[in-house]
Amino acid sequence: MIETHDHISSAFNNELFHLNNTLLEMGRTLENMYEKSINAFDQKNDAASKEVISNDEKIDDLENSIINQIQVLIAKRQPMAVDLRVLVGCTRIAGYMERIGDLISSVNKRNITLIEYNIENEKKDIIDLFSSAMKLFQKSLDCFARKDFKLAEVVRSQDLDIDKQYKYFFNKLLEKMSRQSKLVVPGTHMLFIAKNLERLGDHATNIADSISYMATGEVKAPSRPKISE
Amino acid sequence: MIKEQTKLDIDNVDVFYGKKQAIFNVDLEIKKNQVTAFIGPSGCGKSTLLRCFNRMNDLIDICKVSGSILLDSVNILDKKLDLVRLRTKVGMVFQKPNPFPKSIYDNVAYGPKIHGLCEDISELDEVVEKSLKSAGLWNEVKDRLNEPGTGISGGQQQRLCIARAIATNPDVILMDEPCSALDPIATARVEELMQELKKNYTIIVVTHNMQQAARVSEKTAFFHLGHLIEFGNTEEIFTSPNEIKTQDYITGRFG
Amino acid sequence: MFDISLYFIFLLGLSSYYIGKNRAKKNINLITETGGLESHYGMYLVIWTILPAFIFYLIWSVISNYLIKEATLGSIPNDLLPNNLSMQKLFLDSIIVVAKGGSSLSKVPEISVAFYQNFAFYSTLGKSISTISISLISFFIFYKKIDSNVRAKNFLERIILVFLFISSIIAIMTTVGIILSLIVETTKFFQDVTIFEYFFGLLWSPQMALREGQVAAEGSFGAVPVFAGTFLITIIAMALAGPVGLFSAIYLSEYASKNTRKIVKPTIEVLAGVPTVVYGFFAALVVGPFIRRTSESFGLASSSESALAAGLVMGIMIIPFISSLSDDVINSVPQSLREASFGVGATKSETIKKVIIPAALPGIVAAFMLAISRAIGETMIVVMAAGLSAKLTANPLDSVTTVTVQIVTLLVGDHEFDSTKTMAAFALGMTLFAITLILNIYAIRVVKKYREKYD
Repeated sequence: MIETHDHISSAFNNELFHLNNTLLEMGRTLENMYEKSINAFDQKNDAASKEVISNDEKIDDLENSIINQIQVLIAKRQPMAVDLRVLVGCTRIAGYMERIGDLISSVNKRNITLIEYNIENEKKDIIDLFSSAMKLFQKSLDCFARKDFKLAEVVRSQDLDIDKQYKYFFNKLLEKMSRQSKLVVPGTHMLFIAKNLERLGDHATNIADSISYMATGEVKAPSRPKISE
Repeated sequence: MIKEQTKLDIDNVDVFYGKKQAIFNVDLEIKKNQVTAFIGPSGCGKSTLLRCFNRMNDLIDICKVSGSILLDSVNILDKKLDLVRLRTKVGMVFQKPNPFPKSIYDNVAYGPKIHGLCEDISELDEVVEKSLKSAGLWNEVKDRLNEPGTGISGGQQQRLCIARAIATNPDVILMDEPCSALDPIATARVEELMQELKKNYTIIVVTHNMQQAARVSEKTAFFHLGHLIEFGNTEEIFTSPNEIKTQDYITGRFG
Repeated sequence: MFDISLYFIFLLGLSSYYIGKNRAKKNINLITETGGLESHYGMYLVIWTILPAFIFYLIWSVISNYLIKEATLGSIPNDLLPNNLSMQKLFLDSIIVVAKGGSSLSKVPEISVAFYQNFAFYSTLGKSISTISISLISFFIFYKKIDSNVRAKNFLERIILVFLFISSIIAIMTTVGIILSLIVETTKFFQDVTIFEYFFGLLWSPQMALREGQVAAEGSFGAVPVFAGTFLITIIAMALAGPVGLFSAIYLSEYASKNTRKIVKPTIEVLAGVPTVVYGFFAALVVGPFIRRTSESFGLASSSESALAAGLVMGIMIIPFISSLSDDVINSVPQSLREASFGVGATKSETIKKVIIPAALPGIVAAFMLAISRAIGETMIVVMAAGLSAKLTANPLDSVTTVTVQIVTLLVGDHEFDSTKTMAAFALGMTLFAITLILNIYAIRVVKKYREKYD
């Protein structure tokens, strides 16, 4: 837990509470988009994918609202120590979430293209990757909701698993594509989807890192252990 | 050459007002040519400690100080110490600008005059000009040195008081909430001046304004109820303090 | 003269407070609309019930008093009327005394006495009736007015303003009156004695004019020795009280502990409460003889009445003025100035000399001025200890006299009111007044020039 006592200024407390709620809403919206994307991919539902893409606007709006709130808070409260770190952390988290939104809509754009191809053999691997990234993202959201920076360590370690999973899928698909030329077009799209999901996992980790920064003031080294592609 | 030379070594200092203990066992090292800020809620003892450094507490009968404070390895709490010499070495600037009701010139010349620091008038003129220049006030007052020091603006008065303090060529300047009676522009001027002055002097500033402490100081000490809670680099104190009490105070969470 | 009508309007006024209050209570909108209180309306009605009637009563009294005298004078039969104006006045006074039931030595005409009694009776009757009716009428008019949402609060504010204004005018008019009477009498004096003689004459002996027809009936009115005596004694007194008072003030405010101060300051102030006559006999019976004996043992001629004795005792008397006032002033010099001075390494005495005294100068000068005026105006000590002889001398062991003492001796005893001797007292008073005024103005200028203003 980061917070110790309430501020003397109750207005300050309320403003922080509102900021927190806006971030949680952004997280929930992303979660929702993400779940829809899995189904859309699984069922080749282009209408659902289009809906998810249109939802990205809402994410952008929420991000703007968060940045505005933080801006006003800094101007009004001149935050120090933990407050300062929370606001800096929230700024970063909002940025990561916005990029996660972009990644999800990019995945869905490729899904719409993939509908006309037969990808039954590769589907399962992608869905596995989807759910791993989903779990990671949900965990980082939990981590934020509970302000639990110990959970952040867990997120960090699980990101490695996704990287492995991606690497494995990448090599496997690349090999298939070299043998079956009809797989080149859908395979490329699937490679991008997999890459996006891997990036999504990275951002989820970044969110967790931001939370542990908020708690401790330590900025984690950006060079996280990574498996080379 | 050691980069951070110790100017004041405060060791095991207790201060009593009668039976009430105001400072508990404080250990602190003030580095040379740095600005050290003392922060803490009212009544936390920061001003009391500051006033130990030039023995201003001697003016209060019931105030007793124990422990040792070494200024360049001389214990200034020594009963036999020459207070006059100490106070020329440790200048002080107060919360409210308090220029003497004399001319601007006489305000600055006051210290050098009573200590006989200058041989003749031209030397005194030089000291006054130099001090006023150091205090960043020379250009504003050079044409009206004979006007009363109480007639200039609050910010100028405070800089006049700084000029008065540095006219006796001290090593250390103590500032007791020097900007609390000033507007933001005048405050910015004084803060700017502090950055300039620390090249030649060691500055200790007591302030209620956390942002000010964060802006002007290299080291910050946080006091609470007479105890030194945390002392360290200002950057760390204001971004990630070690003590919960420090954090609660600087983030406005104090009861 | 107090009569029943005044009691009446007073009682009516008293009850109208409650009547007005009740009236306001019944008028529900009144309080909310005018923002006043019920008691404001009580007072409002009281003022309107009493004030106009009372003013009318006073005016009637003054006018009727004048008319009654004129008319009575007219009623005196011509053959009995004295030709001299002041004799007429005396005669009239006797008539009034007889009319009021007294007796008079001189024979007064019955007819005039009866006339006076009649006039007085009807005048009093008329006055009472009209006072009571005015009071009643204005009571009813303003009782009704409470209904029409009149703003009693504002009205009361104005009344208070008028009251305060009149009070301050009374103080000013009194001063002006005193000065005017001084000027008038002084001018008369200077018709008898030349200004030159008064200001430059070296001989003061008004006693010569005691008997009419004496050779030196005019007396001598050279005021120089009198003022010289005054200044000599004042200088002696200030020479003692100035340093002692100031130094004790500095000790009290800067050095003494709180407890010492608590005891010493009131003790010094007790000195101010000792009646001057006590100082007087102390000076005459203890200090005077002591000084004479001491100076004789040094081979100096001295009388037991000496300027030194009076001056010293007077100095003791005015110490508390200087010390107490200066102490207050020094105390009000802000602590921050002391700290500033100590902060640059000044010692206590340097701080006092260079910072505190200059900052407190206006107050200290004011304290000195007050002490000097006290010394110049002091009479009792000098009468008892310094003597009456107007000698022009700078020898403090000699007996001298002062202005106030001369005024006392000039006015004590029986003399004619318009004799030169009496008017000389006014001239002395006027000069004394002028001197203190000039001293004060000069002191203000000094203060302005040297004061170091702190804020």
